[in-house]
Amino acid sequence: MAETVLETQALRRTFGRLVAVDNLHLSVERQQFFGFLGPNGAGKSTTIKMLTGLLRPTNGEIRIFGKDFEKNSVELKRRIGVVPEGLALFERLTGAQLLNFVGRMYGLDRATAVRRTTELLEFMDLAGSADKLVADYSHGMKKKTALAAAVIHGPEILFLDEPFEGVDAIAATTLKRLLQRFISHGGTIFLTSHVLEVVERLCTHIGIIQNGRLVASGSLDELRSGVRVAGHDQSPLTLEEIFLQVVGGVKEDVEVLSWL
Amino acid sequence: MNSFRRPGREVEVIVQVLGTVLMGGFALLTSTGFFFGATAALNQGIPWLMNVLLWVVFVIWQFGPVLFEGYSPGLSFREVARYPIRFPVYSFLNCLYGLSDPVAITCVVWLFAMWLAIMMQKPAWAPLAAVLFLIFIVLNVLCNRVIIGLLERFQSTRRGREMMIVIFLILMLIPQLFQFVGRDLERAGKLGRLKPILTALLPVNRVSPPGATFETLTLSASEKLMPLAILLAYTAIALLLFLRQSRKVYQGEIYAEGYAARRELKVDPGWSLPGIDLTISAIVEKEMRYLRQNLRMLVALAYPAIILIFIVFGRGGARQMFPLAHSASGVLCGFGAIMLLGVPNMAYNIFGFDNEGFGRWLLAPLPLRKVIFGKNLAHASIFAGMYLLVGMIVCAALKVAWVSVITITIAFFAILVLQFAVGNVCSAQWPKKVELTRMNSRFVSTAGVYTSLLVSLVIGVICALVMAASKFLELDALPLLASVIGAAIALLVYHLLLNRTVHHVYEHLENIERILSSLTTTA
Ligand SMILES: Nc1ncnc2c1ncn2[C@@H]1O[C@H](COP(=O)(O)OP(=O)(O)OP(=O)(O)O)[C@@H](O)[C@H]1O
Ligand SMILES: [Mg+2]
Repeated sequence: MAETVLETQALRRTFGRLVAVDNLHLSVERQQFFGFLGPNGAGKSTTIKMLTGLLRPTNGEIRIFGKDFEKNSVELKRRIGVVPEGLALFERLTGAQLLNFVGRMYGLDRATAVRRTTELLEFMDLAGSADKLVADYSHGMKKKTALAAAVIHGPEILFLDEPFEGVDAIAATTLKRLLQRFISHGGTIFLTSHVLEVVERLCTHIGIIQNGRLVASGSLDELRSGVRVAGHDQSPLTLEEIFLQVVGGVKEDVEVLSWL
Repeated sequence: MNSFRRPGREVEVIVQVLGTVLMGGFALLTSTGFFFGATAALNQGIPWLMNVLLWVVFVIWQFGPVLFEGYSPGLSFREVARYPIRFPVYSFLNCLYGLSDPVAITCVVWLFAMWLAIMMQKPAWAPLAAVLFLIFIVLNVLCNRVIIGLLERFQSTRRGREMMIVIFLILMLIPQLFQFVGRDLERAGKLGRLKPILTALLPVNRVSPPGATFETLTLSASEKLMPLAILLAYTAIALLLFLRQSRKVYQGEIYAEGYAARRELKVDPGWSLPGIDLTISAIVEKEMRYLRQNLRMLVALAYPAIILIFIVFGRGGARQMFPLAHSASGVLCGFGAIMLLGVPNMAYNIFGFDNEGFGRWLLAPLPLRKVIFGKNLAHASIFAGMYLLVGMIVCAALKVAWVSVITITIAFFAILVLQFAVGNVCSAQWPKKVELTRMNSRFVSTAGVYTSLLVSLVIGVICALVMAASKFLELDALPLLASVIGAAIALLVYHLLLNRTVHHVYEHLENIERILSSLTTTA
């Protein structure tokens, strides 16, 4: 039986009266590629923030590698890598300085930090801009820098909040290969994305959240068998069809902005 | 800026019209001054006055448009440049645009007033004067366009913009310097000493554009050739520079931030500070790199040292302004106090410069205590280093009693630690996003500023009480004892408040993050 590396129990987060995440039970096993989907404002980023220490849950429990996250946060943070929603970069360092800095924050020695920084800058195609301030990077370059910062210490779980948003096609392809390699070497990925084609191609497991509640979860096949679309033929449903079905579909009866 | 239709448009127009009228009135008023000045120069036998007036025109023409650029009305020349026109037309329009600046117009009016005076006093000079002034005008326009072009280019880089801010701050310092120096000179009756300096500048004047114009006009016919050649040479050089620059812009050079891309990627290894673990070294390095770019903070840090120079080396006036400066230990004490007043700038909003990077501290596998300690260490070491450096200079120059040195130094560090302790709490309680590229963005939140004032006041009162007690009760050892006790208390308070700060940050994570990563800053 595969090892459960990430588990949440009745996770809940409120902002004043707004319940952003409610009674969330998640369970992710080692080497799973878990896609966390949901409409805008569903609570995906809030969940990732709680799972990585950027936000405290109002209630509930998070266990990573079987250990309570709150009590063992320093040890556990060393074993995870994160691309958070706002990227959280020190923009007044150069790309090279930033990666080197992040590496040392995770306890890499100086020589290793330099070596991995160099490799990552080249891998992410940022070598030409290594001496520029991150503040002067384009949006996609910042995202790639954040991705590099997330993997520099060799984490066991990656939490990625919309990693494909804003990166070019070439980078996205390299990135997909990197993530698949990461999985095949024993890593686990928890990712949110709005690009359903990518999620369908990459993810082994999927969770769909709506209004802060988990409304579907399981492998793609499990989801397919759970969803019935009226008048649908025998060909397998696409993730997009499943997604729209689960979250309530498009408002087809509503006229699309008559003045447009 | 594109002018959209805004509700305040009418007000804007009214302000612009009023501004133009005021400017016109100002130009007319001052030009009568130039008229009478020139008249006096010609018939009172003080011809050099004319030279001075030309200098005034030159200096104001070159610096005015730069300083008041934001106020000049009309469309930016770059917008004109989008229309399909040939290069000569483009360059000519560029010049005309320069001439349409209010400052430039005022300068032309002044020159015209001077020419009128010449025509009435020495009609024979009038034709030559007209030609010379025209050349002078052309030279000024070209020069000014070149300077503004350079500035635009400079300003287009982040570093350049920050440099500009610093240059302005330093310019703001200069009047204060003059005040100090002026006072001292006045007291000593040494204003007359300026005369040799002026005499030394005479040759410089002769080869300057205003000087050359003046000499061509006033010297005898055989001597006119040399200054005229100088004036024409200046104009030719300015024209060449202008055309070169203008062509680059015409050909579509964009003033973008240019970085020389290194051919080979080479990552520098991070710092490793002796006796400090690697992660804290990394934090200190990051903070120092941030500080190095924070030119405004560096200028603020340099202020105390500048003031100290006046206290120690200034005589009379400057010293009288600082009562403490009468005794040697007073100087050290005063310097320490001035340094400490600058501490809240850095200590009371420690996350303010990180902006969206704040989250990175939470992702890192480090206890927050360690992060805050690392930051404090980096910031405090700067103050400590400056205190020690300047302290040594003061001790070498003024012979301070060693008991005083030890007492003051311990008290300095105690207060430093205390300020950082309270600063940490304020940083967590009232975080404020600071934008380095904006000049009016304060380093600390308003609540933080008030707290720091209160803390400084309390510390000041305690220090004064200790001093008074030791004086009236004749307890010579009291200050030393008090500072040692104070240091112990400060360390304890630091420890306790650090715990509190960490707790507070964890409780208010999203609030702090939201403030620090918000797009708009609140003043
Ligand atoms: N710091 C905060 N303060 C108040 N409300 C918040 C805060 N952060 C998130 N929310 C609210 O919580 C809800 C969930 O937001 P979240 O960012 O998790 O959505 P999301 O699923 O990531 O959406 P998207 O797909 O647009 O990124 C939203 O209604 C949002 O307004
Ligand atoms: Mg989100």
